[in-house]
Amino acid sequence: MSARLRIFVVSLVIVAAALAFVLSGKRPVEEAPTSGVFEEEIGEAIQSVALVFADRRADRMVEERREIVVPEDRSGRAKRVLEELAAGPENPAAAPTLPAGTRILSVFFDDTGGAYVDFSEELVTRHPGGSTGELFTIRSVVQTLARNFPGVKRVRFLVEGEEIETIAGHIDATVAFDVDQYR
Amino acid sequence: MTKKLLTTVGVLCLCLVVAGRDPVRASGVRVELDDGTEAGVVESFDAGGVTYFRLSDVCRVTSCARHWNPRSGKMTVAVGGHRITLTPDNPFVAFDGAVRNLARPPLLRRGVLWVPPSFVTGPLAVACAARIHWSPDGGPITITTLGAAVTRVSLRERGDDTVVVFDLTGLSRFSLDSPDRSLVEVVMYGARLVDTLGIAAGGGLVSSVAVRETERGVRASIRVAGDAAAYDGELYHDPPRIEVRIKAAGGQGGPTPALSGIKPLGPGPAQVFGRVDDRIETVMIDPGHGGRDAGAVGPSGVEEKEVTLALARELSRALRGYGFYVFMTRSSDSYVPLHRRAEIANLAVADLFVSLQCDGWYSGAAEGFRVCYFQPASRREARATARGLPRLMSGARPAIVDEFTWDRIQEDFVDESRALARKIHAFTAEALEMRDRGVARATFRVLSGCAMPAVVVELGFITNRSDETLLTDGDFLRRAAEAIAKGVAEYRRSAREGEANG
Repeated sequence: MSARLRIFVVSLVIVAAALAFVLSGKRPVEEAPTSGVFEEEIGEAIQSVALVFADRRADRMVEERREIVVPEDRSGRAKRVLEELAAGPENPAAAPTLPAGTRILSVFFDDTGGAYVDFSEELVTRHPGGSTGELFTIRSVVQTLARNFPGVKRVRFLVEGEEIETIAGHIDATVAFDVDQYR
Repeated sequence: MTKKLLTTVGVLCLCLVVAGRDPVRASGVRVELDDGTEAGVVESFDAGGVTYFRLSDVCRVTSCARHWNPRSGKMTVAVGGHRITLTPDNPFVAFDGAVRNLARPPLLRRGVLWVPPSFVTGPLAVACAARIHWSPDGGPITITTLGAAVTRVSLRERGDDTVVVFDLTGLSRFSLDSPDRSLVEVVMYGARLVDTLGIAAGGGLVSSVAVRETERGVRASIRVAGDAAAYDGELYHDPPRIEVRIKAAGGQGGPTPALSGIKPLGPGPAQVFGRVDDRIETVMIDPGHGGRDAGAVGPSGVEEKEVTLALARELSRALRGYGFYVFMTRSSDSYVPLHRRAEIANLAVADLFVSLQCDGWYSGAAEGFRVCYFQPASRREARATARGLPRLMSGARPAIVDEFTWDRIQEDFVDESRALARKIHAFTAEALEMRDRGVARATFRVLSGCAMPAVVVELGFITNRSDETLLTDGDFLRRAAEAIAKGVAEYRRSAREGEANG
């Protein structure tokens, strides 16, 4: 709870700082680089991120851009971005791709382009099932990471720290998901 | 570090070489026919207290044809209209589409297939219509032919071919031989003649058939005309009969002799009869989910596992109607793990695998059916995860890591699986009033270990209200099953034609 409070306070500070920056007229926020971290001493920043959801009828991917406050370290940022993905789309024409209640326990990267995402058990226990549902879950996570973290080549799914065979009985999750395959 | 690795790899290779040179202490077992004549010697060797026989020898003395399919790793033995399919290290054999347990698996040693005595005295004896006895205490293998009577000999024209039909009172082991280009000799072992038979005047490619009783059974000499080129024969059960087919020279578009078991006239090596090819006759149906895994659930509470089982029962009925042998990975509401489903199909030596599923979505907005086949995981990823050696991957990688693991075998069948998916899709799209989502490919876990063409049919989104209503309608399931079965039958037809043309 106190951690939440701290994040809230910190966010306030950042917003205030950003506001001051804009008002000073030296550097309009529109020109801020999308991956720009401009409050380095605090270690958090506002970032415009791309979230990849599905459309309502499960036909194609739909991208949604959102400005969110992210920590500076790569793993922390990835965790925040995926939490935003798990919260679902704002666009009414889009559909969620992760089951309601799914939490992102952690995200880490290796030095060969691999990303590892540890989900809470809701990913498998509350998944709607079907290979289409599973494929969109995988594609949305893989593409969201790939778009916001250049250099990610593949993503491995874990649940509660353990390897899984599949999410809901279809797509092989014993191997990492390739960014080029899950477009 | 590298040196250590190299040494390890070297030792491993050495181990492999030594294991490959498994000391086979071969010896021979005599084979005697019931009349006391010797039919030859079968090479044998002792593996862990069990005597194994060399399959090629066994086939020679029992006049069976055999065919090895290097891609699927199956050996098919054909005799008298029966087919027995064996796979090395698998104690189950497919006998005319039914599964028999030999208790001990056939072994592949030094490129030769060895079979346990239970194969010779069991399925093979039944197929040969003979009693085959062998005791582990030693002594010869004895073959006792079950006697039958020849009641009639007739000629039939079939296209350009002429068929000589021997009507029998029961099954009889027989052999074919062609001592010269104008003569085909048929011996029906242990058989008797009920009357003096003989066709003086022939017809078509046959100029005459002379039949007489000998010590070993009935011998028929078929004199053939000059433009006859090849022959084959087959034993049928119902009614019991042997049909010997004489083929004309330059027959149009027929299967090549090497593939079909049809032999050219004139002196040649082993007696071959009965066609041997890669037939598609056994289908493994996989009803998705089951037991504690309900699968996707519809808005009114219908569970995917119930729908897939009901659909599987309809499909099973429909496929039998097309002459397929059918098995199911589950026939009740039970939980079967994904890798086990592929194993069941492989053990039953199924020729095709059809997994039945329903799709699921977060809302009711998604609907429709699609047919899927396997997409291999990118090789890079599969390898990086293959043996839990991700560190080793990035640097120098020993060659053994590239080996095929059991759950990548479907990669060998992607082309056939795609063809099968397209056929099934074409017929379901035509027959069903459901949104068509087309043919798709995905890395399905249940397909990855299947050593045969395999597909997943996703019949509608159970999470969509109108799809769910259809999926609980018996008439709809029957029509869907019929359409899928039609697709499977159409695939079988096109595969046959492809074989004949290619």
